[in-house]
Amino acid sequence: MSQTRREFLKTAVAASVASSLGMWVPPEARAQAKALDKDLKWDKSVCRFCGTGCGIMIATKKGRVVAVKGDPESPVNRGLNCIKGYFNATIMYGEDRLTRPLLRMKDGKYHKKGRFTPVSWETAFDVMTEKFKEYYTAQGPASVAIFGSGQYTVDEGYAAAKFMKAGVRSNNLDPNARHCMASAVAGFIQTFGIDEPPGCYDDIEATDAVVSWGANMAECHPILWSRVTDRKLTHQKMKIVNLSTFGNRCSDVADLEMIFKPQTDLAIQNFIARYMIEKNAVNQDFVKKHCIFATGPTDIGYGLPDDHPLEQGQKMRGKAGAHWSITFEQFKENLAPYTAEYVSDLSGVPKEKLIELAELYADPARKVLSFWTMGFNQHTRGTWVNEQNYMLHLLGGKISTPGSGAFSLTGQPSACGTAREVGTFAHRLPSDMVVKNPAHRAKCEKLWKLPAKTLNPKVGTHAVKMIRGLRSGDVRFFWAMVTNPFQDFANANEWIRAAREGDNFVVVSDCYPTVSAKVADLVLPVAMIYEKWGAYGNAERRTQHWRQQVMPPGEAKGDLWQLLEFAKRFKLKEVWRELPLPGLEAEGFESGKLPDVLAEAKTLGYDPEQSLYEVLFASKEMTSHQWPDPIADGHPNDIAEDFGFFVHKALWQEYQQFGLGNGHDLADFDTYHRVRGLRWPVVNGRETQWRFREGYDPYVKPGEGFNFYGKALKKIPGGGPGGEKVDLAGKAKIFFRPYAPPAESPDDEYDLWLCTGRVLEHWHSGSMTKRVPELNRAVPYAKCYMHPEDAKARGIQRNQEVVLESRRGKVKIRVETQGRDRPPRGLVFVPWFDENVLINKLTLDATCPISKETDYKKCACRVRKA
Amino acid sequence: MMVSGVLVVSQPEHQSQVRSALEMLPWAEVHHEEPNGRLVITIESDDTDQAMARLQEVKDLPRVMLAEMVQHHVEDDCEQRSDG
Repeated sequence: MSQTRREFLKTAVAASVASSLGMWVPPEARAQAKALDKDLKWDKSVCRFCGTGCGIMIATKKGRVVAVKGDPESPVNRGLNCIKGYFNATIMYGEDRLTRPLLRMKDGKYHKKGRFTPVSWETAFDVMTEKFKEYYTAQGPASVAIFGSGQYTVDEGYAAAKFMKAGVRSNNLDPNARHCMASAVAGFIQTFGIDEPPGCYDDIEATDAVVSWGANMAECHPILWSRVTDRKLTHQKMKIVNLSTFGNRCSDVADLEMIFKPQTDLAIQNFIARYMIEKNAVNQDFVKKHCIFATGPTDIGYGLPDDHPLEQGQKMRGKAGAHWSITFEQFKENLAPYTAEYVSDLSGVPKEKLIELAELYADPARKVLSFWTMGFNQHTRGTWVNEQNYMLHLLGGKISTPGSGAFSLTGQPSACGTAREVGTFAHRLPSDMVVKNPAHRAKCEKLWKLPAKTLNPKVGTHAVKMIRGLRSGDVRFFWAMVTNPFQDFANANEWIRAAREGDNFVVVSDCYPTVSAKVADLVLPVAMIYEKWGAYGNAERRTQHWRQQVMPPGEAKGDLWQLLEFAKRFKLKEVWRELPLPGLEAEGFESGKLPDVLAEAKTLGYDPEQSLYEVLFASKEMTSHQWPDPIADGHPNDIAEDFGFFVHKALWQEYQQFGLGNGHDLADFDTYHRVRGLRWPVVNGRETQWRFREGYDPYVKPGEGFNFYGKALKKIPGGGPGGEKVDLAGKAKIFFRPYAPPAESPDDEYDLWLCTGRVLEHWHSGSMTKRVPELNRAVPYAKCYMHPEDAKARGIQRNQEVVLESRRGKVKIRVETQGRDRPPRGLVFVPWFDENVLINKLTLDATCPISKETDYKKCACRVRKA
Repeated sequence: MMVSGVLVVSQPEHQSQVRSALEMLPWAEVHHEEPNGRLVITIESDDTDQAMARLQEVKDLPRVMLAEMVQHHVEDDCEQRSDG
């Protein structure tokens, strides 16, 4: 390349960067930046990785994505981009991209023990339908399951929910978000009666303190962390606290680092609450007007199988979520044991540090913003530890106020927008509604134009139960979409064996040959992010849409297309007839069966011979959304071309109806293509930054100040478990939850804590990022991070290969004693992206009994020389 | 050949130190700066592997609080590679 061209490029790129960051740029340089863009077609889009929801600009040239940049107009990342965002384009172009359906075959036919053979879509769907119907007919809707994702686009999740719940009448749809967000959801619902954070990222620029609990934002949410460090630079009063079980990059800029023993976060929270009461720092006026104190049972177990020793005598394990109101005096009494001495001893954190942290929450003149992710959520008391953080903020009235809030971060791009808001969970329906509630079912049946009692009132199998169902035979048809379950689940060996050896059929829709794809009976090749239209909802309630930029490779097709094509293969008479549903007990339903609703279907104008596709996805109303549409602005849409109408828009417009007037109001499809996302509730075209707060939230009336208007769980027993129900409309709950020891702790035999998590360069199981060779080189294989003294004591050198084992399995892995993750003595940390180091063979599948989310953060292990 | 546009942030009092350190790097060039500690640089590299390593080098410089890529431009697109 010529020197002039090189100079031109550098000047142009630098000018473009500087202008996008709002810096002054000389006119000549600006002109060069403009000239560089001449051949490129730029369009706004969203990053496909974590839950931050950064806006990125994508440039295409000749049908290929060739450049990316942070979107300067995005309020989330303001032109910045972390290293993962940077490779959004590259992930689509891996050499081993799947481009044809692959079926295990022997002698020209499907065979469980056969070899993967490329087949046509027709054959793939034929076999898939046959297997589905075989199990469905014999065992009913409880035997089929879709394991979905927080990476589903909103329309994909919505179509999956409609197909499963309204179509084949199975509630066995649960997302991988169960592993990352379920505890956060349960915490929100129990405390506020409605899901998702009250505040938003704008809190960062208004706060005086950021407290990070069980998170590693510097590595996992670097863009938000850059906003936090920026606040520190520009605001003198600002303090940063990093609470973690091992030292990480967040500690580099923290004013206070607190390394605590696993699971003791609950005790630390209780100490802070106790301190606040002692120092008279409770915001009495706020608490009296807007809160009520509550607690629940403690003998709830650890979500392990029934025969596990830890589950014996745990009387309330089936009713872990029950709770009742208590008085402030009772609340105070419960906190009494959590003195600085006791908690310091338990957690290993010096007393002075505990007090320094408590002082931040207790200071009425200080705004405090708490962040957390998996350290809280993947916890055998995950729901509790979430609730306890709201407790701290509610006690001080530091919530729903610019600069003060308790914020649960998400790990996936649409854990909020799809998994939670659409409700792709076994117990949920769209917009925070639940299958158990007859009024909710009736509302959904009306909006979906279904006969009464089409929807199944029995909660389906949650993720962990689903995968255990493969082993027990309760689940026989299993379809994984946009996720990699056979690498992700704790105790992975068990499920891989169950899938490969059981009488079942496993379908995996995937873009690359991941562990799960290799475990499948049928692999369906999928379109990736910019090869389809879509929408994601980020952690601050911001919904963002994007257009398709390029065509999927080979025969790969979007997950939405796959769901709709599959729906074509079911007739109403096969699924809306009477169906067996063992264990169903619900008012208005016969025990153990779902009723035949075909007669009423006829009165609604349906024909039993019609397909689910025609009824659910291609009604007159749906197909009225025509393709092409001016909003596409010349962008392709292979799915709309195939079905003959604008499927994405049709689904969105229908989905929008669920949230209107329900606190979940969303804007119409076209609006989102004109803006950089909007935070719901969106009422009269205006988004909401701070929910529950007068002046910001349209649902709060003048004079109320605050109104915690979430409707769920607002009538609870008063004074004790059997007490008369009290109505808490408009109030939030301040829970007391005691410290409970972990399900497994190090002992003489297994003498170390094992903690698992992510690193910056890889994202989740690495099925996409590991395809980017550059990312692989940076962190080529997972390492076991260990304290140098622990290594020395075992005679282990840095980089030496060791065997890391728990009671459940072992892996070979190299030891790292330096670097950015710095475990304390007695704890090792292993990232889980590497399919050659299946660390989940070691982890324990204990869960939070309320949320059913697995605790990946702690179990006992040992290390020996290989 | 690749050009990456990178934002580098330091405390304002360390800005000149950071700037001098950046100027010592043969593959980096400082283009724009503001007195509040923000600098815009470009990193030249032969491939993304090298780009990443160089970005890491910038991040590891003393007094650098933040260094993140903003824009990434590939001069020769890989037109030979097939999508199939």
